[in-house]
Amino acid sequence: MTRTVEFGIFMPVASNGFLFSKHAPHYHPTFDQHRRIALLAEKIGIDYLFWMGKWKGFGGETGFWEQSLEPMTLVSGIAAVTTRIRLLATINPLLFHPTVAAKMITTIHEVSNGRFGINVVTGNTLDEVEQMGVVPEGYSEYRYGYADEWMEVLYRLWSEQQVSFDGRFFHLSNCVSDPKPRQDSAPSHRERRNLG
Amino acid sequence: MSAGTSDEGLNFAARHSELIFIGNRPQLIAKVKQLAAEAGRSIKVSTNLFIVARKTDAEAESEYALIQEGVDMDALNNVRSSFNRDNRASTPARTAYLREPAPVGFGMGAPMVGSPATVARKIVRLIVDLGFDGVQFTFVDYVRDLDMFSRNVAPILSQMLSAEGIAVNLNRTLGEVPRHAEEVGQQI
Repeated sequence: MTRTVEFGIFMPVASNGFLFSKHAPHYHPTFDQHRRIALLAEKIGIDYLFWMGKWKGFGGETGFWEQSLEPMTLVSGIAAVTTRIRLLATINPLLFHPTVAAKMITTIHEVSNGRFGINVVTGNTLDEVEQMGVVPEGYSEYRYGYADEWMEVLYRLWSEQQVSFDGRFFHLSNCVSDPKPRQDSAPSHRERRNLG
Repeated sequence: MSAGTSDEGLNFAARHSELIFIGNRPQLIAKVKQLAAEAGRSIKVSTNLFIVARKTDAEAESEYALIQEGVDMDALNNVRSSFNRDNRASTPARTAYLREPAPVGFGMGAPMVGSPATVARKIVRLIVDLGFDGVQFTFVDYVRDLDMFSRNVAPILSQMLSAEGIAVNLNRTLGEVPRHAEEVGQQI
């Protein structure tokens, strides 16, 4: 079987992209810049665009990442102006209840006509979530357990009419989430993809 | 998709992700694919690459040297101390490159510096020798450099990969049906 390789662009969602040099361009992220990158990337056959999420910058003389746009809401706008390229945005389970996330993802999936996917992170550095006061006691010990349970709630909301769930972190009673993601592209962790 | 290099991160990806980003640690490719196979799944592995493609090798190298010369040490130290504070099991591996003498940024990926042909050759070598399934590009000036990349690097790169028996969508013109159109829309 022919081997395939995909190309993506790691989008400059925070100030100065990924460079902290006085001799590199200094800029803050804008929708117009992301739209231009997205349209050009789509035109030349880039397969996907990928946005990290960042809630606190690192400063310095160059103001590295001092401004950032929120990737889920940004990608919704990009979804509306593109037609083919796949879109991947970062989401941190700690910051979005799975019921909210399930509907946000379904919505962007709808806007993008099934081109959307999420990048699940449990936190790049703790600073950015600690500033919000949302880090539970002992979180660093069970961050992936938390993300696992969050994913399980997502899958169930996307596949069941009503979800009652009594987990370690989440408690849902007869919780609904409609519509379900489009059936022609329903997300599922059980889906197996032939990678060639 | 997810990103991670700790055992927990790799296991999480093996259970849930179609794509994992592992940075500059190709030794993890086989490991995460094995974990995914054990979970009855398959997974693609990608990395970031920082593209500095200019007319000649010399021009690209001198631009890269200039960027290195201007490294913002305060920003670099702030990134370092933030990760050191975190002190997770994966911290030493994740921050190894931050201890190099002059990293020019954070998250930009391995530098691919040179003429269009040089850059294309470096990317091909990385894909063929190390076995990555995907590459995410970063640039100095995204709009300008992506345009230059599309004109100068993409045609050579897609040709070289084709010669290696590797199929890509890159460099196809808008309007052509993507090679894997049936897969588009199966993400998440």
